[in-house]
Order: sequence, then structure tokens, then C-alpha cells
Amino acid sequence: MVESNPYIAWIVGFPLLGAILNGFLLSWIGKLLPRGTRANLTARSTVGLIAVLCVVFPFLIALAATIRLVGGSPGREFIAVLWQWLPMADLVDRGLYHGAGLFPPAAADLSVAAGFVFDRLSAVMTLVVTGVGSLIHIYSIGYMGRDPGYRRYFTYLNLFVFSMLVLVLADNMVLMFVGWEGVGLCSYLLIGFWFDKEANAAAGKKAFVVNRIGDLGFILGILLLVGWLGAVDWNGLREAVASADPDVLSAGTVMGTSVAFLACMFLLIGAAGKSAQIPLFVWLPDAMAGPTPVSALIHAATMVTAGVYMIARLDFLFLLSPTAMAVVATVGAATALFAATIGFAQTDIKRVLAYSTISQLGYMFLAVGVGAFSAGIFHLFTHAFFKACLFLCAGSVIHAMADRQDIREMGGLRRVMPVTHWTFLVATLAIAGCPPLSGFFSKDEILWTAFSGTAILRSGLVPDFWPVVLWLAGLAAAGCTAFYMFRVYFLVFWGDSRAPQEVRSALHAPERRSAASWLWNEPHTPVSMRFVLIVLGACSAAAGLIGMPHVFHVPNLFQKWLAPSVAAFGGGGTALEEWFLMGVSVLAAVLGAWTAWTFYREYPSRQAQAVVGAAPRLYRLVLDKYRIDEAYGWSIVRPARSIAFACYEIVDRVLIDTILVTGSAYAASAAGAMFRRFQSGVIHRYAAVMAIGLAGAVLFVAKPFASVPLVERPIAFATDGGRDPATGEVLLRLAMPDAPYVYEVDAGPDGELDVDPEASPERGPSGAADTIRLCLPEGDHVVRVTARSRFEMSQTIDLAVRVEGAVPCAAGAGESGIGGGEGAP
Amino acid sequence: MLDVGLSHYLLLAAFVFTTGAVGFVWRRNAIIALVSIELMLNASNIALVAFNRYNPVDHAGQAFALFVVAIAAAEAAVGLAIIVAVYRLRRSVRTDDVDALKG
Repeated sequence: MVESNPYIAWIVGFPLLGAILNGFLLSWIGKLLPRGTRANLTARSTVGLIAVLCVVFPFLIALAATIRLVGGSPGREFIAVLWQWLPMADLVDRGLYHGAGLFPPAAADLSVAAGFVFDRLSAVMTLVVTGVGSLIHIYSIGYMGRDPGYRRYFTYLNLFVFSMLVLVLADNMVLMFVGWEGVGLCSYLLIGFWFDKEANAAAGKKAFVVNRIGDLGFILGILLLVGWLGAVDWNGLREAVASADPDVLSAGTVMGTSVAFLACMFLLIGAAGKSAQIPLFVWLPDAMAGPTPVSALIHAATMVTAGVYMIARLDFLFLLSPTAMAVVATVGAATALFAATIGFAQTDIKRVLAYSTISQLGYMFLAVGVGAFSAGIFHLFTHAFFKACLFLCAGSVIHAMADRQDIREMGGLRRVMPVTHWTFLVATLAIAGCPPLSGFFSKDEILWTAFSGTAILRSGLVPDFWPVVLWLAGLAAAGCTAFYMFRVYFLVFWGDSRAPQEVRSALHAPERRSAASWLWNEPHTPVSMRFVLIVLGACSAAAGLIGMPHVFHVPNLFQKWLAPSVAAFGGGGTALEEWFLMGVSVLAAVLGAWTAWTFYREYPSRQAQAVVGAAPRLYRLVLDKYRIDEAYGWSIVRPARSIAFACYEIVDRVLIDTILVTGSAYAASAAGAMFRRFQSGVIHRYAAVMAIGLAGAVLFVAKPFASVPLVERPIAFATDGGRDPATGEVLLRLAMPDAPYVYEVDAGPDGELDVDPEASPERGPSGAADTIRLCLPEGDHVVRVTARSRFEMSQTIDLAVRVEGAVPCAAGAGESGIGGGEGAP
Repeated sequence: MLDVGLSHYLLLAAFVFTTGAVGFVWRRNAIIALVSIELMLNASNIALVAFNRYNPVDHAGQAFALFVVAIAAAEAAVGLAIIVAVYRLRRSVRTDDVDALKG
């Protein structure tokens, strides 16, 4: 049952508001106010209050919403759709949609909304993010109290909570990806928070780059899902899978690989990047460069669990591909064991915890991989408490040790820091899987489901005994966890202090004023930090009680709660098996803890030295984290750098810098040097150049016509004007317009002019007809008349003239005459 | 006896134009340069009215000549103003003294 509830959006809105207020708005407003008020708006107390309230309010809203979910039907969920973000229908209308043929028809109706959904699964995540987030914000007030970047820190932290809530509450994959990128950005900003140290900045960069690799997988996964199912929102995807014929779904292939498997693998790459699984786990230990509360919040409790959450969200999709499930489970188990063994030899307290986080995330992957989504989320839930608690205890220890993180320099702190000691012990017992603390229930459920799960066996990829292998890996990792966590515990809190003299002299135990003082007094830890440690310690102890196994004959509240949201676990075994496995895992934890007690009660101890001395090269390998970073450096980073260097030298330096940039500048300056000579400042030279240019232009225009013959206009400028009645002379009427012409008349034509042009006066352009007299003998004649102007232009016309009868003029005046006596001898 | 025809006018125009052009290129005095421009413009006027005499259909030549006269007047006004301004600035009307834009 889906209900619209706009308050859900405020869960996301408040942290964004906090980031905006602390980030810039208050300091902008402050600039408009009088000096005293301005200082108040950006004072540490204001910043801290805003930041904490902006996470506490969402927590309260989420709590209220969760209570309403409890009261409603199992399928109840609240949605808040802010706006339609990417409506494909618009593109179709505007003719901009080119997905036809590439995407299924459903994709044309796709509309990605900026919408949030608050169902049972996101309720758990939201409560973890805002609950643990609130506590860590409060802790940060004490921890970061003297840091110059106080305001920046809380801005980033609020921004992170905002991004994480977008990720968790998004009702579709695209919006989830926005949050996914947002948390990556905040993680980068906070890892490199103290960026004046280059190692910190490099750690941030490494985290960002490794995460980008995962993000690429995520994007490809989203696109593949759009192309395959035509949907990106959870409900749409779920319906698409549910409504389709299972055979059709499994028949979809890309290059011979099942689409479901391929999509799950892409998404797994994304999840492995964010959740620090093999092979993309290398960034998380380095991420410890950030402030410790950041490590607790981002790199332990919330962001790194996003991959697990995403797989649990898409449970229906992963269940389509048992092969993908098998890969997820195997990656998880391998990571759990692998990271746990690295934790053996680390000496930096935060790095041990980082490898522990990787290992625990491996457990979660193992759980969701075998189809126990509820168990995975349950471990995510409990892990958030005890790992945050461990990190915050570590932060408080680091504080007391004047920013020293090497556990070999610590020791004996249990008398000095009782609160930290007790909460650390509770969280250590929880992570080691000591009943009845929270880690015991969640880890035990994972081991049990790994052992009894059948989902992965349908793939055919793994042999039948594979669940046992997964279980053994998980069991070994559990033993390792107990060992390395108690190693840290004993090295830090037991034995004698190995700190340098100046640190040791500053440490002093609390005064024992009352019976309860050991639970509260601690001179080295501000009250805000102590409060948070105690709350988280209590949660680490008690959180597991809501997810007790069925063999205890109590309801598993957590599983029941999530049942409507995630797929049920398929598989199972007898109660006897479950009791047996539980006993074995407790035994493994006790064994690990006992070994740690033997080796590290005193430091350096004879036993530990003996073990290290027995296999020095193996110890060195573990100490060097199996040299994975070096291997990646050789196989990936170095070649990539070489390619980058080659690109830099060839493309950048030669092609762009030299040829394009310097070359074009040189060409311009050479052209300038040439043309500068013309700019002499001597105006006559300009004029001369202009004249030459003009002459060239005239030539250019006139030249094409130079060889064209003059076409004569066929003007009938001469006509037969009849006969003179008196003399019988032929009269030629001349009517050449406009210009003066002389006329040549050649009767015959024999080449001899019959009328002398010299004697013929130039006829003016009057337009009036003029007459030439011509005396011709009887018969037919052709008379050629040529009109010649002074510009060497001439036109010729031939006239046919017939003379009939005797011609009187011929007898008297010889041949012919014009005007006065032409042709006279 | 010489018949004065179109070609005579055109030859005159060409001569005057050449005088103006050469004068403009050769002489360094800005006033002379201006006078040379006037010569060239008037040479074109001669050619225009001469053509008009032999092709008077719409008297386009005359009209153009009038335009040229008007433009020549404007040009002379602007040119003289520039020369006066240049003289105030440089105390010289020699064109090679005005070479601020030399490359």
C-alpha cells in the first residue's frame, strides 16, 4: 500500500539545509549584519548546533514514519515525489527520443522521478544513517572542537548525510546514483580534510579514483537494465521481472552471456567499489587519513554499506541469476577472510579497524550472495553500531595520545580512560561474536545461511560443497576477527604504557569520587564524546536482540520486519545443525580471543616474537598487506601512468603545445612581420598600393570580357528610301541613333566605296533621318552600308536595292553622287 | 581642323586623373594631397559629363557628376578639418609626419 507523504522529503531536506546554512548562507547573511551579530552566526556553537539539529530532525521524522509503518499493513510504504525529473515522454513528443530499437518499448514511457520511498528496508537504513549520524555529529563537536576547519567539516558532514539519504531513500536507480556520487564526493572531501598533508590528499584521490571504477560498473548496470527491462524505479523493475515469463527473462543474452548475470556483475562492480570488496578494497585503509568521526560515519557505518543495500534493493534481480549470486557470495567470503588476516599485523589502530570493516562488509556480501538479504542488512545494522563505537573509541584514544595512532606506543589505557575502555570492550566482544551481544546474532545468522543456503547451487558454477567452503571461510574470518580485535584491545588498554614520556606525563586517571565515576569520569574525553560512546556501546550490546535466531524460540523481529521488502531466504537445515554451527563459531571467537590474550597481554611478548620469528617472510607479507597496492601499482597504475606520460609528451607537449599553440602564434607573428612592412605610416605608399590594387581589380573585372567579340546590334539603321522622281537616284535613309557616325556606302559590293566618307559629313545624333543619294544603273544591287563611329566601332548592313527602268542620273553625272559631286573625276 | 569628340574629353579626363593620382602619391604636403584628390574627382566628372553628351538617354552622367561634386565638397571640408587638427597637433602638414599608426 503506497501512501504519499511529503514529510519524507524533509528527511533529505534538513541535512541539505544544514549544509547550505553552514556552508555559505549564514556567512553571507552575516555580512549584512552588524559586526557582533555576524560573529554569532558563524560561531562554533551555532555551526555545531545547526549541524546536529539538521541530522536529529530527520532522525525524528524517520522514527515517526517507522512507527507509522509498524502500525500499517506489511506492504505499506510512504512516497514523496518532488518532480518528474527525466520524462522520456517529453523526448518522444519532441522527436528527440532515439531509443526505439535500442530500448524496449516500455523505455519510451520511462519517467525518472525525483522521488523518495520510505519502506521497511529504507526505514532501517534511514534510521541507521540519521541515528548513528546524529551521534557522530554530537561526538564531532567535541572531537573537532579545536580544529580551524570546524565549519567546513560540519558542512561536508551534513552534505554527506544528505547524499547518503538520497541514496537510501531514492525510489529509482538514477536518483540513487546521484546519492551514490554525492557520498563519493563527500568521502573524497573528508578523507582529504587535512589536505595540507600530501598523503591525506593522495588518499582522497585514491578513494575517488577507485570508486569511479565502481561507478562505471553501476552506470553500465543501470543502462543495461533500461535496455533490458525498460525501467529504473524499484517498483517498475520488480513488476517487469515479476510479469515477464521466467524462461524469456533467462533467455535474454548479450554476446552469449545471460543479461541478468551481466547486469548483476556490473552492479556488483559498483557495489564492490563503494563497499570495498575484492578487488576494489584498496582505497578504504587509506581513507583512514580523514578525521576519525568521518571514518566512523562514512567508512564504517553508512557509505560503505551502500553496496550491500543496493544488492538487497535489487534482490529480485540478483535472484534471477544464481551465477551472479555465487560470485557475490564468493567475493564476500574471500574478502572477509582476506581482510581479516591483514588485520593481524597492522599497527595503526585505525587501519586495523579499516581492515575489520572490509572484512565485515565481506560478511554482508556473503549473506546477500547466498540469498539471505535480511541477514545481510541485519549485520549492516549491528555493524553500524559496534564499528562506529570502535572507531569513536579509537578517536578518543587518539585524542588522549596526542594524535598518535600506533598501537605499539599505547598500552595501559584502561585505568586512564575507563569509559573508552568499557565501551571498546563491549564493541570488541560484539564484533568478535560473543553471545549475547549484537555481533553474535548477526554474524551467526550469516554463517548459518552460508552453510545452509541453496540459492547459489542452482547456478552450476560452484560445486555442491561450496556452501561449506563459504562457511569455513566465514568461520575462519570470525576467528581472525576475534584475534585481531582483542590484539588491539590488549595492546591499547592492557600492559604498561609505552607512550613517549611527554604523552605519558599528560595522562592522568580520573578521580574516584563516587561508585559510578568509572562509568562517566574521564578527563581526556569531552562530555559530548563520552555520551556518544556510552550510547553506541549500549546499542552494540543490545541491538542484536531484535534478530535472534529461530532456534531460541523467540520471534526474529528484524527478519519479520524486512519480510515485505526483501526476498525470503531459501534453504535451511535442522535445529541441531544450527546449534552446532553456533557452538563452533563461538568456539572460534574464544580461540581467537585467547590467542590474542596469550600473545598481547604484554608487549612485546615472547610468544608473539616466536611466531613471527618462525615465518618472518610470511609476517612481512602480511605486514605489507600482501603487497596488493604494489601489485596494482605495477599492473595497472604504472602502465596507466606510462600511457598518460606518453599522451602528455606526444599529444600535449608536441601536438598541442608546440604545433597548435606555439605554431599558430609563430604563424601569426610571421604573418605580422610580413604585413607590418606595409604599415609604413607613409600615406603615399598606401595610396600607391591602393592604386595598384585598384588597377588589379579593374583588370580582374575587365579581363574576362577582353576576348568576347562585340556583338552588333541588328539595327536597321539604313533603309531603302525610294527614288528621287527627278533624277532617279536611289535614296538611302539613315537613322543611326545617339552618336555621330560616318557612313561608307559600297554598292556591289566590290570593295570600292561608292560614296566618299570624307565627303560625307558626320551625321549628328539628332535622331532625324538623313538621306544619302546614290546613282545606280538599272538592275538588282546589293548596297553595303557601314556606319563608323569615332571610337572604332562600326556596324554594317546589306540592302537589296532594285532599280527599274532607265536612270536619268546615269546619263548626266557619271555614276553616283551624294550631296555635292561625289565620285566626280 | 580638329574635331573635338568623345575621345578628347576622355583623354583630358585621363590626364587630369593621372595628374591627381601622381600628385597624391608624390607630394608630401597634405593640402596638395587634398587638391590632388579634387583633381581626380573632377577628372571623373569630366568623363561622366562627356559620356552623357554622347549617351544622353537618362542623363545619368550628369546626375552622377552632381553627386561627385557634392561628395567632393564634403570630402574637402572633412579633409581640411583633419589637416587643421593635424597641424595643431604636429605643427606640420607634411603627410610623412603623421605616421602614428606605423607598424
